[in-house]
Amino acid sequence: MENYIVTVNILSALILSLSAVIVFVRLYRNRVQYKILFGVALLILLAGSIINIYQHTTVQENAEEFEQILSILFLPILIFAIYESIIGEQLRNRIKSEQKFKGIFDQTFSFVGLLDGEGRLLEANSTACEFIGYRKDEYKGLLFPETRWWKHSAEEREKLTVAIEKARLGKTVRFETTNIDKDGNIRYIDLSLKPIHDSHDNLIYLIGEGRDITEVKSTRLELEKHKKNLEDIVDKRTTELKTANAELQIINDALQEKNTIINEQNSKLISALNDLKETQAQLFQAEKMASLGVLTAGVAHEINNPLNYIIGAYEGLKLQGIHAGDEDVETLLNAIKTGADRVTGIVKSLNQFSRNTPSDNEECNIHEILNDSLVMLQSQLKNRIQVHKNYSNETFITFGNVGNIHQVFLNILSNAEQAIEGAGEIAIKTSKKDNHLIIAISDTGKGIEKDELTKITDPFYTTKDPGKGTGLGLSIAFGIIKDHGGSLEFESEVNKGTTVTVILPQKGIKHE
Amino acid sequence: MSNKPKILYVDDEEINITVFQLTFSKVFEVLTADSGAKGVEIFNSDPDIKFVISDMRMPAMNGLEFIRKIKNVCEHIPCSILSGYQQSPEILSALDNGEIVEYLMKPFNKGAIEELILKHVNGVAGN
Repeated sequence: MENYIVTVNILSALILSLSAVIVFVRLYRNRVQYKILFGVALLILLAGSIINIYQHTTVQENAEEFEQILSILFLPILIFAIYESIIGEQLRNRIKSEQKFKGIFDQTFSFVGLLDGEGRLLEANSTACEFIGYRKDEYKGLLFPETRWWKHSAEEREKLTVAIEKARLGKTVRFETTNIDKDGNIRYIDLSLKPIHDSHDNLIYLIGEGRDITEVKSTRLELEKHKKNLEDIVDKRTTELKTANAELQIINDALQEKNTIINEQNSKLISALNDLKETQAQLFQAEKMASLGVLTAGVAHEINNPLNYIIGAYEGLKLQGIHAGDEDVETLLNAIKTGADRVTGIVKSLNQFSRNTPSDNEECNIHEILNDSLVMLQSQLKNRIQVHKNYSNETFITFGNVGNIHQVFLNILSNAEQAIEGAGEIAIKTSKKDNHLIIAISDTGKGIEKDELTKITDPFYTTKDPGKGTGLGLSIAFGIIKDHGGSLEFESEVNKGTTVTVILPQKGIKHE
Repeated sequence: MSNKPKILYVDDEEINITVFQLTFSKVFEVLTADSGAKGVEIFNSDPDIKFVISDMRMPAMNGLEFIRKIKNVCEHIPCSILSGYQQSPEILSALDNGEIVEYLMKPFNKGAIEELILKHVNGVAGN
């Protein structure tokens, strides 16, 4: 019996020793209070077991007493170890967890606050407190809108109050607001309020969470500013483009206008060129006439001198009476006189046409002018065309340029002569009406077609064969008559003849 | 001394001078010159000349230039041009300002010349 107890005790001591070793090894790795206690309890139990072995192998009378003391010590330590291992561990875990959450709560970048159901601030994280410079607990119990974060703006406070009211009704509220920091800077905050309910659905807390979005906001504002700038630039550029376009349009219009002007000027130039050509041709004609004038004046002078002494000599001979009683001598003398007079007349007429005075105030005896013209045309008219003169009995005088008026009637009479092929008649009738001299010159020539009648005073218009007429005669005549305040009229019938009527005002001497 | 009025005729053509002299010698005492220069010389040497007739176109000095020269000496002497040329602007202005009293055309008209000279000679007292 005694051996059996000892064997059990030795086994127990071995197991206990092993357990103690394991506990202390673990304790070494993880120093927890209950493990120490547990180890101590095991050591006590081991000691009890060793004492028991000793008691049963040797006779030790007071060993029973040690065993009882150890049993009494063992139990409370064991209970304390068990307590430590269960409760203490839980407590430590809770503290740890709380520290963890506190850390998260405090160290998050967001502002976090806990409000009670009335909106009083119970807790604020250190991010929030540092932001405004609150010391610990300084804010506790204040209504959230009355804390320092909101003191800068009544408007924002009102927004918050409304938001708290909404959150209290169970809604999650999120809005953008501003807070002021400890340095007085306004920061943009994205704030949310969430209600927390207990298991009976009673409101217990409100969680406020704010995120500083100033950077985002300012970036956004910056972006908006850039966007606005860009839009402005685009607008400006668009406006500039529009303006430039409008300017271009204006320039284009101006160019087109100028083009039109150039075209107009071009056509004016063309017509001016035509005018110039006409004028040049007229000048050629005028120059020809002028040269002719110089020539005839020279010729007239050269003829007049011999005429001077022929007639002088004739007069002298006549005075000496050498013809007295001799009819033949008288006939011969008269022949000299008649010939000399004829030459005198021709030279006088020639002189009229070559007159080169610019005067418009000369006496123009129309009948004399008509006769001069007929003298000039004598060679063409002779033996072919009969001239009927029906002159007015009144004085038929106007004032103007004698040379030019000669040119007009010579031209009209020459045309009349040229219109008659073979034999024919020219009738000249002069009359007065209403202070106007009317000279009608009719021929029995080939006439002019009606549609050509309007063109005959146009420069260069001619029906004559090339080289026979310039087409300028009537044009110049028309110009001269117009200068004298008169007019030219034409009537014609093909193969019957033409009547040209010259109407001139009966002017008096112009007093200059 | 003759009673016939003394006139001066200037023409560069000899035959004109001859005919003129023959034609008018019964009425006037006709002095002649074949150039303006000679005409001036004769005019200056004879204060009895009452009328001057000159051709217009002559070499060296034309009729009007000659007349202006003698008018420098004797302002009131009546002068006339007898020319084969028609009136020119120069002649017209001479008529206008009284340098010449008449412009006569060749071939001359005997009666008209006599009438003209007599009219002026009887109107003026002398050279």
